[in-house]
Amino acid sequence: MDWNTDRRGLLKAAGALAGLMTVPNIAWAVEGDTLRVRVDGDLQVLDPWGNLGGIDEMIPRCTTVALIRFGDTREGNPLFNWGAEKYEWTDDKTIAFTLREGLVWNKGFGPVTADDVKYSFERIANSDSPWAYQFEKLDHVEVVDARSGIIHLKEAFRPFEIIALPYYGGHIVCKAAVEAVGGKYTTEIPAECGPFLMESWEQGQKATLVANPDWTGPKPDFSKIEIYIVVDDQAAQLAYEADAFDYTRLAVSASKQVKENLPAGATLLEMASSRYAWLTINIASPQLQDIRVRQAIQYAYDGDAVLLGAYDGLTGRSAGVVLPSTPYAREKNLIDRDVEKAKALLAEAGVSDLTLTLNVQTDSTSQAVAQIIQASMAEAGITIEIAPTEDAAYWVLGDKTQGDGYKTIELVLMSFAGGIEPTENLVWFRPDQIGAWNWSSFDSPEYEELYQKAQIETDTAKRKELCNRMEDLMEQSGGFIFICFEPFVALHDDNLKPVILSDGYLDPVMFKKL
Amino acid sequence: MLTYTIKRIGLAVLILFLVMLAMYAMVFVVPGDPAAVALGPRATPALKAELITRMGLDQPLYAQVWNFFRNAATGDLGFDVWSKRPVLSMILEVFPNTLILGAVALGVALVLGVSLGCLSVIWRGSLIDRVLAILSVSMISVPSFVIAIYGLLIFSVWLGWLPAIGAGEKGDLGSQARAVILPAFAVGISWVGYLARLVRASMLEVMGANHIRTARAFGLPEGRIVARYALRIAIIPTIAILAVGFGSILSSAVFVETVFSRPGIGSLITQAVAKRNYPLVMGTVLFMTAFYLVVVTAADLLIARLDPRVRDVYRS
Repeated sequence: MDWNTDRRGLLKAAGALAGLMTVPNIAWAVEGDTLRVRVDGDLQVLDPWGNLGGIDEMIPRCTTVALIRFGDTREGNPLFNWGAEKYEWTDDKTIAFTLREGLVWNKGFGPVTADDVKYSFERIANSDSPWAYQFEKLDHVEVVDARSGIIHLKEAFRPFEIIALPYYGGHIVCKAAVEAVGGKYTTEIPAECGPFLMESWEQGQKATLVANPDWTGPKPDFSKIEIYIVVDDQAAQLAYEADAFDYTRLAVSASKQVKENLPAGATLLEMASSRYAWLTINIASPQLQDIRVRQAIQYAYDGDAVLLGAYDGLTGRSAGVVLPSTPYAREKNLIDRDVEKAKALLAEAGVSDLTLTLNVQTDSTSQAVAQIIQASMAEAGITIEIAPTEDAAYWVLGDKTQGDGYKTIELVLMSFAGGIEPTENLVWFRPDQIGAWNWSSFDSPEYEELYQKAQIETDTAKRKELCNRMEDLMEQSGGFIFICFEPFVALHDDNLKPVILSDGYLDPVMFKKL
Repeated sequence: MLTYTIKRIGLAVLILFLVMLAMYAMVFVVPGDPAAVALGPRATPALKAELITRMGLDQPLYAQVWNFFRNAATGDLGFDVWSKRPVLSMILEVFPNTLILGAVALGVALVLGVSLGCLSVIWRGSLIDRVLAILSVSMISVPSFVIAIYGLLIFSVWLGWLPAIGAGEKGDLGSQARAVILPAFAVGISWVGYLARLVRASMLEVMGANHIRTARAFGLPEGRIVARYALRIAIIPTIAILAVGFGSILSSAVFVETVFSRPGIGSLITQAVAKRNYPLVMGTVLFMTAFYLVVVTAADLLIARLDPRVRDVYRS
């Protein structure tokens, strides 16, 4: 067979190829009145009793109501009435509410009532729900009439409205509908009353919500919401660039590259999240029982290098676990980097050739932080062996129900999703959390006493003092190095104003077209 | 043939049993607490305990294995611990996507691989043959997820021709067809190279046969000789390995379904393993193993039917 290539043939082929290249980009995704957002995991439990965050939390925000809701975290997390038209603290222990008129359950379950509110909250309080702690101070809900009720607390606790009411367990469910399905549900919501109704769910692919024709509240800017499930951050970034959706969160490591090559018509959003990261130094571990050794690690830690190298300088050093944008945050750490002092402390403790194991999760940011810590500790003569640990094994490192391993772990790089209320973040370091989530084995009776006081203190200045002292105690114990509140990076369309809540999740109902 | 059939099916059942036994052993060997992973810091001990009970992990190993096989025999693969949906219905919901992906990928591999193999033979020893050889080996060695990422970058991001994620809109065949192109290409590409080399090798052997020489002597064009007389014989070993290839392609789907966020059994397994959702892991592995064994056993039986020498080996 002959294969002849001449100039004319080549030109023809090139012309055909060029023609193909100029075919206009085909818009595969739905546009216009539809909001398309990406989440990184599929839905599992939509029941507020047991939802686990992410899309499980986002959908009830659209399909049901809470008495009050939070606004955008960049605007200071303002609270506003949502399911309630009237909402007020009548004293330190009671909140009176009246539901908005016209709130109706679909599927024929009638109007939303104060009895539904009572059922929604009391079924979580004192139960095995992961959100039971939010309702720990709830005594009961008194039903006054069909739309009005009074929330009674066991003791004065103003943070109740921040911890419990705006989200998670605060979503109101339909008593009759939930009881009809046995008291709990998972992926099929028995009745909805919010601005959107769940239209469909394609497992592992997307959930679609459509406007509720019976919704009488403020009209959302979009009539349809498509929530795309894309697990991989890099794939999501490429999919965004291919116009598959209007909003996606990105990996922190992608920020620099995206900033340099920002897709046309896109806005890069960078802000501090409420997720706090710290280095756990286990006081109970045989090699770390001498406080001078622990302090040597604190002095050897290079905070600036970690922030620059692992977080691209997108966030500052944290001075504790209390959210910096709240009035309760501590201003600065007690210990700054001083390698010579670290060496002196080790010498004083008679420790040489110290080798410690640092457990970290396998994501790229954690790995980068660990490597920088390894390098900074080496300067003080401390050898760090990094142990990348897969999620399922990682989350039981400090769990006493798994054996005595929690006493011998040495260093662990940790981060928790935090809340606005300081006690929500400080709770994990109480003595009763040793062997659960207090992996530093930090055992301070004073901390516990301060925690109890901070729970009920209503004066902001006094509360700040209590919280700051608790963080001082944490640092002074040598069990903690506060790293940062992790940055939050997202890409969204220019003509969109997203609403991001303090936990990093979205409130698609409040998204605005610009 | 009956003896051979019984032996092959018996072997398939034994393999299935051993795979599931190995899976159960792994559950106990691999560190990690599913309850802690899934429930996070806010889980109460009671909630963790309930989850462990729901997964059946509080029972002794022999009881778990026995219950699993007893239930599986009746088509009950258990319930997803989170959504409480039947595992079988979750699998059946996404399996068609994986099946379509596998079939299209194999189809692409077959068409391109056989064509490239034939071209290599037609131009054997020439520059084109050498280029195709390099191309084939490159296709075999590049991992499917790399192809997936670059395919996405070029055809979805730069050119905007194909969708970046998903399996297409429900009920819209055109959308579903467009959505399968890139993933199928990514999964099938290594098999293109593999098949091209295989077809080339077996065809070169056939090209030296007497009947091909006779065809040439009659003055038939080389292309016609290859397509009509050589390929027919050379393709037999290729067809024999297609069943194995289908299994391998289904394994690659794990990566590709993640990159393209395509619902399918691969992404279902990945998420189930990450969350230690044991009933779902067991159910999907059992389903996939069974499916693969059915395909391979059917292929073996077909080959035995076509080639008496194979069943004679078993008979003897």
